[in-house]
Amino acid sequence: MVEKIWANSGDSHFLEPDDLWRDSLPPRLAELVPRAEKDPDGEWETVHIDGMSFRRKLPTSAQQEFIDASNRAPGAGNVDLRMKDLDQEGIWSELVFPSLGMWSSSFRTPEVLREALRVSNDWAYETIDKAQPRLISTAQVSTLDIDDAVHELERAAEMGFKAVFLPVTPHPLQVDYNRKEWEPFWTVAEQAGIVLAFHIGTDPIDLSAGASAGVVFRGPGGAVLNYTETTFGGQRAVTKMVASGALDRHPDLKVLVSEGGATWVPFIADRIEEGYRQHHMAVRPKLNRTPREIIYSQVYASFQHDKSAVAAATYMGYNNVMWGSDYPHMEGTYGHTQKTLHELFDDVDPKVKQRITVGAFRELFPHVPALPTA
Amino acid sequence: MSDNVMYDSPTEFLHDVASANGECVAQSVIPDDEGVYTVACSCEKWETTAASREEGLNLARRHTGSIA
Repeated sequence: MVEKIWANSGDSHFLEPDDLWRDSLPPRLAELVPRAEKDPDGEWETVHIDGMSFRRKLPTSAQQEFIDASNRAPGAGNVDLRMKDLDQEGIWSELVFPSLGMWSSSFRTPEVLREALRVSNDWAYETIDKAQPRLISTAQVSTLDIDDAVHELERAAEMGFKAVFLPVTPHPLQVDYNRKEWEPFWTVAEQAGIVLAFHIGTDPIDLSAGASAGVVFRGPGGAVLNYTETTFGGQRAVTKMVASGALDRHPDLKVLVSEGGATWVPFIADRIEEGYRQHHMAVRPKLNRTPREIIYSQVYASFQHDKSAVAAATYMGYNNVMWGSDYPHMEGTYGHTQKTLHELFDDVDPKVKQRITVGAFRELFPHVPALPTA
Repeated sequence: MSDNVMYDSPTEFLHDVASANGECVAQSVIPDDEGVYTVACSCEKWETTAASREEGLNLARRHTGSIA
């Protein structure tokens, strides 16, 4: 019989109730949160967000197949069913990202976003974290207003959150992560021991600029070009955090980039070191540690299928490689997790396997229950 | 499970539009600072203005032939 491999996951998602925001906010704010309604002809759907509307043709059969595949895991939106899925798959503890919160960058009214994310945090902590200690949900903050973000992070820390979800670029109306305005946020996160959890594919799309906003490829290769493009945002976020000195000034601050693979980390460390060395006369601020020291000690990266991610730990000296399932999304391992884990780790040094499947995660979240012994 | 569009990310929403290669698969109705709504289509050949969001959506429905 094939041995069951248990692994922690640095990348999972939860589907909140459709009406979470509308049912929990006062009517004047509930009117502005995203909601979708179908046209009477059944062929079109309109999404209303904060005074704007976007109408789209309903999915083709191929797109519907993708949506169905993404939602096929029974526990996608139910904790009890989820634990059965995780036990079956061999996933022990997982970091859980939101779904509705991915639309944060489309809000325009600071109060609406602030209050909606407050509702999400209260709901997630009660429904997910309190119900099941193996699940660690990410707090959410408004990147539209940094003061709001700081205050909500302080509240989330008091509640008991251990990580905060950040899009790879802040709200389009806010300054970028390399700017000093974000310093209070980094300070609170470091002092509270809250992990900054960036998830790829969360580049803000300014829908108010119309359907052509954002980096979007059309024509031959478009699907792969668009998917691959989503991975770069995490790399840019880390580069900003290092080059601006944010991670150097906050050596206890930990960053996780989920779903973006791991081999890019040694690569980006090379590139930043090259820039830091070769352009040293223009470099501001000066760092107290080398970029590689900062990245290798403070940045973690999760992957699901990439064999080269294991090689980053084995051959490139990057020890913060972390496996992630991406449950329940169709890019993830649901339904074939054990096959994936065996293919990745059967021929790997047991210490490396332990580090990637268990150790790196426990380093960020030491409070999670220990893995089953058998 | 839900097929609610909100479980797509905005990025996926735009990628769906992009993959349709300039067809009339999505329209936006967006207010400016003066309260006038700009209405545009993913075909990139049609754009107009409306006095209200509902009027903008009706213009979009007319553009795609959904209403007469």
